[in-house]
Amino acid sequence: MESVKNAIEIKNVTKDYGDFKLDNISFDVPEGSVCGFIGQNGAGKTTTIKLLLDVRAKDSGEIYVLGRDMSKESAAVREDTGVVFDEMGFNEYLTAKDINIIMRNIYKNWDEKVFFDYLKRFALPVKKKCGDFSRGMRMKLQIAVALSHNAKLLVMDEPTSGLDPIVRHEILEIFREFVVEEDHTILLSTHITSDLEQIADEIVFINAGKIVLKGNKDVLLEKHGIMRCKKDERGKISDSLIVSEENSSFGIQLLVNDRQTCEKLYPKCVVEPATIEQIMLGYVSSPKRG
Amino acid sequence: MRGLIIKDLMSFRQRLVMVMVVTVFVIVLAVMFSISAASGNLRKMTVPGPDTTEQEAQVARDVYSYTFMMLMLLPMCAVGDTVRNLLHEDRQSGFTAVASVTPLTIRQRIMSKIICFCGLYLAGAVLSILICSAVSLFTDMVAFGQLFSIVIIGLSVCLIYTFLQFDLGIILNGSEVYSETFSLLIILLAVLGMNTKNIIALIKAGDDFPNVIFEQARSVSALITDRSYLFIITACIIGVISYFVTVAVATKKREVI
Repeated sequence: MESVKNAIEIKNVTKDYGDFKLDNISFDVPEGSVCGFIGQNGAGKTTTIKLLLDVRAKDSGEIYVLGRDMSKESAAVREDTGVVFDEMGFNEYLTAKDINIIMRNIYKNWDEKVFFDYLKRFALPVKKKCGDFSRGMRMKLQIAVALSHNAKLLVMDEPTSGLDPIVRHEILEIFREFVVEEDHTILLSTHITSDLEQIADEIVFINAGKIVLKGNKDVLLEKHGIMRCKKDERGKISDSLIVSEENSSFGIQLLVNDRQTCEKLYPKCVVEPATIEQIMLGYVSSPKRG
Repeated sequence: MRGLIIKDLMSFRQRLVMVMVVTVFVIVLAVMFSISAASGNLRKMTVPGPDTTEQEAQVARDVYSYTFMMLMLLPMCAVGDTVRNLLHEDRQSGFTAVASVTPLTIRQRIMSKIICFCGLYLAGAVLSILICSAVSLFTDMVAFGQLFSIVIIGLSVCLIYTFLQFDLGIILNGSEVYSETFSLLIILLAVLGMNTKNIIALIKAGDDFPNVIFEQARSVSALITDRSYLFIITACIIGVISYFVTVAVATKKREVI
């Protein structure tokens, strides 16, 4: 059987800022997949992305991107990596035409035709200063840049936050097209879990600098469930199945980590599939996570 | 690296109008100065006569020629003003983050900035020298050699200031106010340090103060005319040190360029 190639491998990475610590995190992103990287504000998503791209130096651990060691070959790896930040990053006086001139002198594989095709598709003006662009236009411009140098990996930090549903849908469509190619991979950090339900194959959930959940999205959704029961039934339910619980006047709502087992063991309780958001909230509020 | 230099040149494009206005202003003033020095009030003040002693005329010549020489630095400073803000501008716009995820190494990013600083200041110096060479044809108050030397010294001082500001900007995480203030202080302290002997001589001069300061002005004039190459050598040495210091600091700190 052919082993799965990983586009990203993060092994035991630590970064200590004193007031915040990214604590021994490890996860892989298989090649050809879309990995949703979720977590609260300040959980460590942006720090992880910066360490991944070798923009910040890690304290310990190993990071491999596209099979190459980032501590040794980061500049070369970035040639094959497209990055989209939550803010545009281009000087406001630059036009898309200027950005094309700059980027074709930075990236060896810069493809002008692809860039201008994206501008046309996104209806972005070529000669307008990007300081005059709306937030949606700025985001699209960044995506056009990230996709115009034949990148194999797209790393995005909150690319859809603050965008209206139509623009978000349009952008997600572009991401879908990107991963049609077998060796194309996306790491997408976002708060908007509904985006991930649409396009993610893998989920990595970070909380307070620690990875609390990772794996295939469908498997995670299949395993987790929301179980509703009466307060007096709570004592009968095994603690090992419960991620978090919430009391209400009608009874108890539990996030459980093995839906099928719960359905078999507690037929009197109602067990429903959980959404990514419910799973995320459950793990954040869980006193037993880790 | 070429892409980043082009990006910085695009920043200069924004200030092209300002450079042109300053250049025209300097040319107009230089023409007025030349006319006045040839047959106007300047001529009367700088040539010994019934109301003007030789020493007074010499002081007037020195004062006006220094003022004129300083005027010639303005076009270069106008061009150089662009480079002063490049680092700050990148931080403000978030371009530092964009540059940090490009396939360029920290060394290349720093080198691109240094090339840009030197290139823009050199372009400004060439502009100043061109104006100087044209102006020196119409006046004998200042020789082209003196003007050329003052531009070289101005270029050197501007480069030293920019290198210091660049280093301090990276060390102090982009604090523009602090990096500018400390750069100026360092240059001021260096100038004071190099002139300690002269300052002590002036303090001890007493009634002889005018003669001592006149002598010192003569020696400064000789330094400007004969030793301007020392300034450019110093600027080059500081530039090389600046590159290595910046690379070391930026590699350690990251996200600063």
